[in-house]
This record gives sequence, C-alpha cells and structure tokens, in this order.
Amino acid sequence: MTSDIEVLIAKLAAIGRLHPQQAEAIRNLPIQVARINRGHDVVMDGNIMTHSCVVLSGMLHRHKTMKDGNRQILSFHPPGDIPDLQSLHLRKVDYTLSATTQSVIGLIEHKAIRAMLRDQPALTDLLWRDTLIDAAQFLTWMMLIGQASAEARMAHIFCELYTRLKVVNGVSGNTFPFPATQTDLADALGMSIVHANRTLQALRAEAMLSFANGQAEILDWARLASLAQFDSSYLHLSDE
Amino acid sequence: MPRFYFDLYDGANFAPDPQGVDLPDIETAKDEATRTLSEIAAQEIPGDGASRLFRIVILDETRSIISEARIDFRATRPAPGNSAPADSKDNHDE
Repeated sequence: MTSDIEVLIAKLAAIGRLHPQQAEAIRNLPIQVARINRGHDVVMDGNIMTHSCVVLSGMLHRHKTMKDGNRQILSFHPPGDIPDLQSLHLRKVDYTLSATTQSVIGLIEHKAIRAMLRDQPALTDLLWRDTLIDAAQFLTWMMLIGQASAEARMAHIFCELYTRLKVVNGVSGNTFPFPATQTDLADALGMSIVHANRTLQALRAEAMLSFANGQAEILDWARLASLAQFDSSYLHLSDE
Repeated sequence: MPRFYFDLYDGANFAPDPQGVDLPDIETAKDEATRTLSEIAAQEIPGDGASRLFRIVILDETRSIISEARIDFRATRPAPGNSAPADSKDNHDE
C-alpha cells in the first residue's frame, strides 16, 4: 500500500468519478505529515478545527465515552479516509479521533481544501458523496448493533473492512491488517471483551475467519458474508 | 495484566476458552463474565421458550476456578384448569 496522498486518490476514484486534473489538484494540496502513536488522540471532542486529516498508513477510529466511562467506537478508518472531513463545515467536533495503531496522517488546512474546491467544483460532489457514504456506513452499523447476533456483527465488521481496504490495495489475498485489539472490537460491536473473544473463537472454529495480532484472514468469504448478511451496496463503490 | 479464562456451559454443551483474555483484576473478570452471560442469554433465550442454563466459570492463569456465574432461565405457564389464559385455542385461530 502507498503511504502518501495516492491512497486518498485511490479511495476517491473507488467511490466516484475522479478526473486526472482533479487527482492533480489533490496531489498539489499542501499536506503536513505527522506520526501518531497507538492510542494517541488526533482530534478531541470539543476541539475547534482549522484542518482535516487523511489517513496515510495505519488506522484511526472515532469514539465517544459516556460520562460513566463506557466507550463506544463509532467507526474505523483505514488509509484513504478523511475521518474528520465534517470539521470543514462543523468546526467544533463532537467525537474523539484516535490512532488504533501507530499511524501516519496528512494534515490539510481547511483553507487549502476550500481553495481546491473553488478551482475544481466537481471535487465538492465527490467529497459530498464520501460524506454520504460515511453516513450510510453508520446506518448499517446502527442496524447491526440493534438487530444482529454477536456472530453476525463480528463477521460484518471484517467483511466491511476487507471490502473497503481492497479498493485502496490494502489487502493481500485474503489477508489484511486490522490493528484493533479485542477491547476495541468489543467497544465497536457493543459487547463485552469476553463475548468478543468467544465470538472470534467461534468464527475461527467454524473456519470462517482468523484474527490474531492485528492481522485478519478471511478463511471462507461466502460463509462469513452469509452469516453477516453482508451486502456491500451501502459502501457505494463504483456504482455511480 | 493477568490472564483469565472463561469456560462457557450452555446446558450440556461445554465450550472451553483455550485463549483467555488479559484483564486488570478479578473484579473486572467477574464484571466481564456477568455482562457476557447477559449478552449470550439475550441472544439465545428468545428461541423456543425452553428452559436454559448458562454458566461461566472463570479460571486464573493456573486454570484454577476462581468464580462462577449463571443464568437459569425457566418459562412457566399455569397448569391446565387454571383460569389464566394459558395455551388457549381461541376461535380466531386458523
């Protein structure tokens, strides 16, 4: 996987039409590259932002913590994502964005993004589309957390990440990095750590999925996707 | 962090935990067992209303039992002849 801005271009080309001059405009964006250690925050709930970030390598996640201390992970962001793109218009963020593992991000000032969008108005449509797909992922996630079994929820998160990583050349055969801990998975799926652990063990015993040390391997896509009731249409990859 | 193992018994089915989970202390392990039992019960019990017994046995790193939690579900219906509307065959049945 490339660890520069090309990963953003690959992502945007996967969700819509990206003309060469628009790709060039993205390449010309001034970006400030930063390394973020595992667990460190990129953006904190309540911050007022003047820039957004693109994930260049590693993984970020958005999360919120209840006053009683319980944490919900809202979304995982592999390379190519701009997890805080909303702050371009909603400057005061209402979530915390942290590094799931050691990651490299590219910080882009909002004024640079605005200047680019003035020059390349069609990119506004593409970023809008990206934001809508982000919302579509939340709809699917809400349904899963409310209605799906523990096994289906677990299977689904792996099916989704595999599908999203594939379009940015982030998978190697059936193997891909998912640097989340079991605690992260439990907090994302709304289940206890022990339940998440047992669910993963069950999927391994059923020869559908193997997950260890931040590496996932899909052992049987057809059965895993069927268990998850996974239908990738909500990701809107190249369906324009 | 110490490692704890959570063996699950679902009726006569025994699902041992070969892998275990690292947790800060025994209290956290007990909370995890309680939450896991309630999550498994919430998912499994709505099935056919039959009685179900779920148990989680917590083991420490030496595989000695340190705690156990259980959910024992029983659905009861009034005995025949009771006035409660149990299992009634109403005329709007097909």
